[in-house]
Amino acid sequence: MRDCALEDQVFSTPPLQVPEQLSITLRDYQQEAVDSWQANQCQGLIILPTGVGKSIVAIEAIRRCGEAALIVLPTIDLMIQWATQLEKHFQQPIGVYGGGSKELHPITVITYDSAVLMMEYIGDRFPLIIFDECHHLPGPVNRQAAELSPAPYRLGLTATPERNDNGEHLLYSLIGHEVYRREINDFDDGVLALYDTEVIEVPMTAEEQTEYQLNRQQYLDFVRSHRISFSSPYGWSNFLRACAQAPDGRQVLQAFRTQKEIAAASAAKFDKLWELLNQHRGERIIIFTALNKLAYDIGERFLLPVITHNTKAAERKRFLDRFRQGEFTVLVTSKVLNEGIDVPEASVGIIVSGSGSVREHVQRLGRILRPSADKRARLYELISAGSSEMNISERRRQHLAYDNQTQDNPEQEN
Amino acid sequence: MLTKDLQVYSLKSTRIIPGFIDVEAPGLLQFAEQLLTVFNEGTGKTRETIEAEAELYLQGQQNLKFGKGLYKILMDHAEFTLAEEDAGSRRDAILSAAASQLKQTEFQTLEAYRAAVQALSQQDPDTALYPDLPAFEQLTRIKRDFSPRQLLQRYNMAQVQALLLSTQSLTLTTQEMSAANLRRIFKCLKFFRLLAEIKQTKDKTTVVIDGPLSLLEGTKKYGLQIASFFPVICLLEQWQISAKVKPKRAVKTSNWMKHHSWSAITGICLPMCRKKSGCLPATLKNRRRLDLCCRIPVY
Repeated sequence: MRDCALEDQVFSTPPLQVPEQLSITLRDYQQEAVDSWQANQCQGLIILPTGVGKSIVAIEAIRRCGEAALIVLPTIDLMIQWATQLEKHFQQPIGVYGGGSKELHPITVITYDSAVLMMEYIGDRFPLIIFDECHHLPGPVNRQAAELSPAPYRLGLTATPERNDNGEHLLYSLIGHEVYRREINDFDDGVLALYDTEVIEVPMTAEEQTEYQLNRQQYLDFVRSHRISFSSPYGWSNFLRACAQAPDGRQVLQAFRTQKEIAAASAAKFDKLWELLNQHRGERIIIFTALNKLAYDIGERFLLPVITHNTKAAERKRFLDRFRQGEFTVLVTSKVLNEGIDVPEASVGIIVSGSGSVREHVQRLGRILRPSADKRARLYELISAGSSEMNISERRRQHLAYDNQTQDNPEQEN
Repeated sequence: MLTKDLQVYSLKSTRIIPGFIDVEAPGLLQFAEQLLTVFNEGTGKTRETIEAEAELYLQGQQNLKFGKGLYKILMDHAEFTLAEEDAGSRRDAILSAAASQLKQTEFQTLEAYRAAVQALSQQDPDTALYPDLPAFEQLTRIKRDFSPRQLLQRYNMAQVQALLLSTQSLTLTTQEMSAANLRRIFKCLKFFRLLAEIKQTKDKTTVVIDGPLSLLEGTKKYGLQIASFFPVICLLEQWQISAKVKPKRAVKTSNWMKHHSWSAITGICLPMCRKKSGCLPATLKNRRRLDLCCRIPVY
């Protein structure tokens, strides 16, 4: 291919005003990560576990790049969190685009949703684009944020690049290849809190067991008779389509939901949950569920603050602030707090129900791993014995994070 | 009314053609019936439950946009219970009392804990804590009793209405403008605060409908009124309309989009980008003409 002159008329942005040094000292791995990225023409993916300071890596990358930067984030909460941190380090106003705000500054944070909608209008203002939690990017809509951006400098940050649909390969073409990676068990020097994970099997009552089996059998019979394979990426859609077309489809879907609900919210789980809440009184606890309904059931029963996608922005902020300040010690959530939210004080996580996604599980673990003085984090998983939850739990724990936990389990000792 | 993401239309030269569905198609009629069943049997159920039940049929629909459109029309016609106004302050009192109880060191039974919260907050913890969430609003009724066919007809009409939202004026031509029809038209024009200029010739009547400030180019004020007025036109026996509409938000093709190849800019292989940039129609910013002369049957 012949070399040809290229006149770049895309960017006319002035260089970014950045400090000569950050006010904090970078850890070795953070330094190495940014070095690798810079050596790769400021393009590529940095993969680090949750809680080890990926945002500091990004801040250093912005400083070294010295160009206007757009940081794309999955949620409004994360956007506000990042804006506060960026303002502290760069001592300049930070633009916030999304969640009702439309401010653009040389450093701007934006949600994936807004980035998809607005990139064609604002993309030429930001030579550097950073995708936080970039495993969201390969989705058919979100990827447009990267496709429509002309930014020559790109950085992707994630702890969990792997996707169920193998979409991680798309990340390499949208952001650049992997330039630095460290796994959770590479850290043993106090970067992350020490942690234990514990799976607690709780029995279902005889009545729950009977109803569970009945509904599960109906669902399994339908799946088998229609030869639906859930190992295919279209398994779930095929199941729904078959349900919509079959005369008994509605009942089958109801049976599927019922058996899930019975296993997810068995009476013994509530008893065990109350026991754990008592056991960890005074500690900061996050309770995770798979469904909003269960989150609200727990909230109603134990009189606890619940954050789901239905929670209004003002109330969500109020709950999170009170939790961070220690006024609330327990927070119940479905999926919205799975990623990125920084509450270093949280030390106990209780998963009442969840999916088989390794990514979701590792992200949930990450919520309690932020280092804090003398902290020992603990992640409990409550699963109903004899239900499909046992397999789901096995699946989601297929990650290195579960090889690195501390070995001294107090309950086993007792 | 349908939102932009649910609009279906095609562009042909300077014309825009709404994506009508066949209201007699058995598959579509069956789908409409299934959705209607969810709503008709949904009285007393929460918004969340209805959404989950409808999702079953929506996922079974190959044309998801159509499915969502039909669901949106039904939701627009559904009435839900109103949220409790002071639930927020009551919740705050209970949660604060509960938080202080949870900080105590001694073990409590759940019953003792709830009783202590009640005593401290002076609120009844047995009353729902989160009754004000939209997801928990209960369906009270459907404002119209649709048949499956009527629902599909309503969808076709909603497609036109969605396009009319961006118009400033509409020209209606009809051959049958009886006094009764004229009276109904005037009454509705007044109701929707629209102006009309009527020209009558021997064989047809032309009505140009707009608003008092429609001369101002930037105004989008009358789109909603004209769209809301459109069903009145559908009640006529014969009619023809013409309007200038703006299909979607205009695509501003910046210089960087016009003059640069993606790979040259980014230095990264972005095959999708090249395709995408090639597809961006700069002409989208131009208004298109919506001409309809067919009768869209309404009940």
